[in-house]
Amino acid sequence: MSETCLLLEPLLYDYLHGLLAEEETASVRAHTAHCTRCQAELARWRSFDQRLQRQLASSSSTAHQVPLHLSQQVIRAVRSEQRAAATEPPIQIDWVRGGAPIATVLLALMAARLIHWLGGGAAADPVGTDPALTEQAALLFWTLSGLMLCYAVVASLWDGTCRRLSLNRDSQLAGRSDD
Amino acid sequence: MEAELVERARQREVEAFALLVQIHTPGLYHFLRSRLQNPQLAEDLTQEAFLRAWQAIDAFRSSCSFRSWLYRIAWNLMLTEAGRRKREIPWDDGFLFADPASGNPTERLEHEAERREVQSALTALAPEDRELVRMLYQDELSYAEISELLGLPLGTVKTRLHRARGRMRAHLESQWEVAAK
Repeated sequence: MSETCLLLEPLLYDYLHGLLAEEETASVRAHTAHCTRCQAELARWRSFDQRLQRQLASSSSTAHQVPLHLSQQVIRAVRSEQRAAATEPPIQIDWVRGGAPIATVLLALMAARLIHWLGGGAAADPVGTDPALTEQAALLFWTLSGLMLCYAVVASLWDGTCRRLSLNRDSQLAGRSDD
Repeated sequence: MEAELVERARQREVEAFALLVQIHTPGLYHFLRSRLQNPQLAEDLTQEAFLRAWQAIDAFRSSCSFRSWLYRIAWNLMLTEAGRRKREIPWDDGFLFADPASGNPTERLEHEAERREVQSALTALAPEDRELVRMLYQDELSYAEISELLGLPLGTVKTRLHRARGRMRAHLESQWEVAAK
């Protein structure tokens, strides 16, 4: 077996199926024209391939019938997906209601800090045990927390008022429809 | 033609995508159905694969074929489903065999014998090589499409298929020699 045979042997099957690039095809054609060993190898691949193709059914020729409705069903699903995407409102953050949980967390933090402070552990140093936190940072923390608390109180009151107004309107509308 | 449809679908043109659905539904359904014994599951996954493709069409790169991209989505869905249902999923590991063309009893017997030989050569392969052979012969996917679908380098796909074919041929030739004696 020559070096060329070794080099071209893995390409023989693809050569039979016309899957090689032009250069490779030319090399295999030129070599197999005079190499009896590779000619025999090609014949073996041809015989193997014929048997395999005679036996193996391609998916497109099988008994599995494609349900007639399937394409239409898929297209309908895609259309409804498209419609849903077109009518879906953009995500809006409800800052009024969203403020309540944020403020609750901050309130809990403030309470914890206050308890720690009143406990005496940090009487001399209201900032606590963390040396990196300066007095100014502590002031900023308290100010921000205070502001958030105010925001939460106002947000809750506003939310409650809106709900009451909405309930009143609903009950009025319900009353009208009962009439 | 297909590239144009894909491009229009990327512009969210449903009509263009509907044409792609009509072109690829039979192939994709067969791809799934030949691996799943449950026809309803094959239908559901076909629909799901198209919906995912529609949702993610912007992520499609025209450097690969739309078919292999779509089949890859379906392949991943099938694996996810298999993982989710554990062993409940009726997975079909068998190949589809052609019916003999002739009604002649002798030829039918020969065809049956040859089928058994091919079946035994396929069974002797490693499961992953068997899947490659199946994609090539049964699903009629190209090397490039198989490489894109499985996320393997093209050279690896070619080498593994060459090796698998070599093993099958050796197996079949040994059986033919036995039969000839």
